Amino acid sequence: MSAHASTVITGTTPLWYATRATGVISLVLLSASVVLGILLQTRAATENWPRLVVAGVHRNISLLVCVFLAVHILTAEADTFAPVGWWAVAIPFVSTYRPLWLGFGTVAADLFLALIVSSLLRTRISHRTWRLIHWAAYLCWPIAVIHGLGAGTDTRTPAVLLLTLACVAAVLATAVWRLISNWRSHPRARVAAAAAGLASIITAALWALAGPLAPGWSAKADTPTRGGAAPTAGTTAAALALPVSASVTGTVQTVATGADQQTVTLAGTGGSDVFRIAITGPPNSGGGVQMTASQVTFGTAASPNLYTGTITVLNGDTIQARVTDPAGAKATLTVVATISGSQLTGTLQAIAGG
Amino acid sequence: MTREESSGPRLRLNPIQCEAHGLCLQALPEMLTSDPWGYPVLIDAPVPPHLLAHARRAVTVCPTLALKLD
Amino acid sequence: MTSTADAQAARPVPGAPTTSARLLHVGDPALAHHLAVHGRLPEITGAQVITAVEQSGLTGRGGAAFPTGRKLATVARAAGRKGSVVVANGCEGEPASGKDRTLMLTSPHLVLDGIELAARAVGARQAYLCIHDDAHDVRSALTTALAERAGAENGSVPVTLKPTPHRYVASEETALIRALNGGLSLPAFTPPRPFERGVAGRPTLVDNVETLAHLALIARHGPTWFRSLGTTAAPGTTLVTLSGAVRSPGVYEIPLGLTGADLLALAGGPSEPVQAVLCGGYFGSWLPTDVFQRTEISAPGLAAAGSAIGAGIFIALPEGACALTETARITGYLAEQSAGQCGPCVHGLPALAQALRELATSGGTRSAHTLQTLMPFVERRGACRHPDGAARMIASALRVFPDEVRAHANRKLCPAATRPSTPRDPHHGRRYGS
Repeated sequence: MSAHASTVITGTTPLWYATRATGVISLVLLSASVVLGILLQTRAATENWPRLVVAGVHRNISLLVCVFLAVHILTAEADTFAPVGWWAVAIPFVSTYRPLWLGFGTVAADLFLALIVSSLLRTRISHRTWRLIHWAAYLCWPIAVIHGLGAGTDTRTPAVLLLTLACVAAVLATAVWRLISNWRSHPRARVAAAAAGLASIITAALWALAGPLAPGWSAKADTPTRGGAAPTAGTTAAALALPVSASVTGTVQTVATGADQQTVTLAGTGGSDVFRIAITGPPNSGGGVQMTASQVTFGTAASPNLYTGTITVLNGDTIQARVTDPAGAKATLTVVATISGSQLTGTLQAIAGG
Repeated sequence: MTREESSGPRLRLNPIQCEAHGLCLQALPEMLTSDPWGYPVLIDAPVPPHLLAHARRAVTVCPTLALKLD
Repeated sequence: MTSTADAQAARPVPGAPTTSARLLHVGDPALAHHLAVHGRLPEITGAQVITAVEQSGLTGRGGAAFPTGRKLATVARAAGRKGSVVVANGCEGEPASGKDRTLMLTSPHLVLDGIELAARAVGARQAYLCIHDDAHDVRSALTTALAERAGAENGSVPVTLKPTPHRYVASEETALIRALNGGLSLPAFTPPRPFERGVAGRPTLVDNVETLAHLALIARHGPTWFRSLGTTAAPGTTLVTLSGAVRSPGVYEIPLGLTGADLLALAGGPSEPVQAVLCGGYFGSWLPTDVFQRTEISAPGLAAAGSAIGAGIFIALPEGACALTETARITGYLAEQSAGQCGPCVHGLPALAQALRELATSGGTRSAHTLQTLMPFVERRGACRHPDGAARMIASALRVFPDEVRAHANRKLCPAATRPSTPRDPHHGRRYGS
């Protein structure tokens, strides 16, 4: 998480940290399990690691993934500042927070559940059925990686990035070895698998470089359909054409508004548009407030209160608000703010609907 | 045609499913030995009580579920 | 006990056969001729069929020699509500056998009668007749016969011809059922055995076509008639295929209980001096000539001599041939014919064949030693009895030809070692008439 944002906005920090940490650990353990699973298939073994032991470790690590994955999901649920929604745990793409990338997480978790349940029931189902379901591991793992890159706010942190790369490298190296060793059997299937694997890796790498690893991803992650280019300049006083995407600068002010209450106000301009976000609540010991109420306005310089509404997501450096205009038209405002002292810089996106 | 089975659980191998992964040989070396090609040779005797847990493990660890205990 | 079948026949049946030419008749395979010779299908119940067959002592003619009556009763009992299925095995996998083909070409209606009666006995409403997919003459003969019966009797069990790949293991009973269930023509792991769960999950009766033909005659003429030929322990007649160093190789119908000498004489006697006879086909066991000539040709008789009757296949090995070379050739064939499903068979049979070849052609003690080491790892470790048959045949060779083995081990090879005498033709025996 970017170091400078936490002075103003904090959610339920321990839960959010737990979610991110268990997410990373789950991915590492899952990658280890996949590596061992592939090694089992290639009949690899050494003196000190007989295949019986490799099989046992593969099983135990997979069960450990269950534990960390469960904590990851539960903490994400409990964290009300990133309303994932209980349905989103099982059904992909219905979360209101970063629906697309969280959806991938849900898909991976669903696939993983199928893997675990089928493996626990292995002696009761036919071997062919179990084997068919287990192939889903080759789908579950990359989706989990993509989920981590897309939904995680830590993606550009060197530590997490390095870990992810290490996991990907390990799995890829093992998979390549599986394809090459004993390549004489099923040569066509191996070539097809290699081609498919290579294509997905290149696509994923390009996407990662352009997407999660580029700055400003967090804001874009909330908006699956990106807005247009510069905001329309010279619009009439009463009209503001959406979508809008702009860099913003502004100020931050904290004012006591009650016995145990403070209001943090972020106000800024981007292009010809202005916004004002007020967050009210009991102060946090480490700075910032625990939001109990909020008020958001967005509009042009001439009509600053064109859209009004409240915050829906408050997470790290990202603020998402649902606003409506007097006619009832809805819009979703997303501000990613980097704060130092009382100055703020960042990006603003506004799209219709929400 | 059927021999009288002395009481006790016995291991049975489905030789069509067996692919000589060899994990059962590692789990239960007391009762399973390898033939010249890596396939298990079963001892024709019931599994003694002290080896039952190992026998069950041999059954569950087989990658193709070729070994059965009944 | 008098034959109840006779009493219940709708009209007097032409006299029951008195010679051993019961199944095989020179003449027209057509329905009209069949009815003229054997009469109509008797109107007896399934239970009466089972009783008659049990009392007749008929045993399976496909190689296992299992009591047919007992098999019928077992399947009938297991049938229950689901019903059962009859599978007639006309797939003659053994290269040196021609009896089933001859029977189906000569007396197809006896086979079909047998299927009908067996279906009645076990309560089956569906029957299959499996034949090799390259046996075009047999197929057309059976198709004609089925067409002839089509209009005649309503309520008879529909018989479906099932073409089966011409491979040794495809005629194994679980392989037939697996193919009928839509799978590959390869043996399956048992349990469950066919009489418990077979085609479409139903209890299935699998019988050789010759067994069913005998059944058709027993139902007409009764168990006493059947027992009028053969021995007490092995009643009735059986079809045999004689090949190798005999003057008139071919398919013959003999009463059980003849001696081996009688059998050779039937086939015109040896065409050259015979050193040994392979009894029971590639799946069987060698017997030295002197032992063979004294042996009673029946399941118990050959078993007592350390061999087996199998599907009635006898191959006479001339003096001039090298027994080890022949054994090596046969083992090589059996290795090729492995279904390829079980490690010990897939690896073991070729290894045994190689060791035999080495022993036959270049000698040395190493190959003899290899044989002894590998044999125990091959027997009883496959899903079917294919490797067992090969091992048994090889063991009998080592037992019957110890001098040859010793000589070859000491590199004193016999001149015939590189000149195999039994024909390479895998369809050896196919051209035989009645």
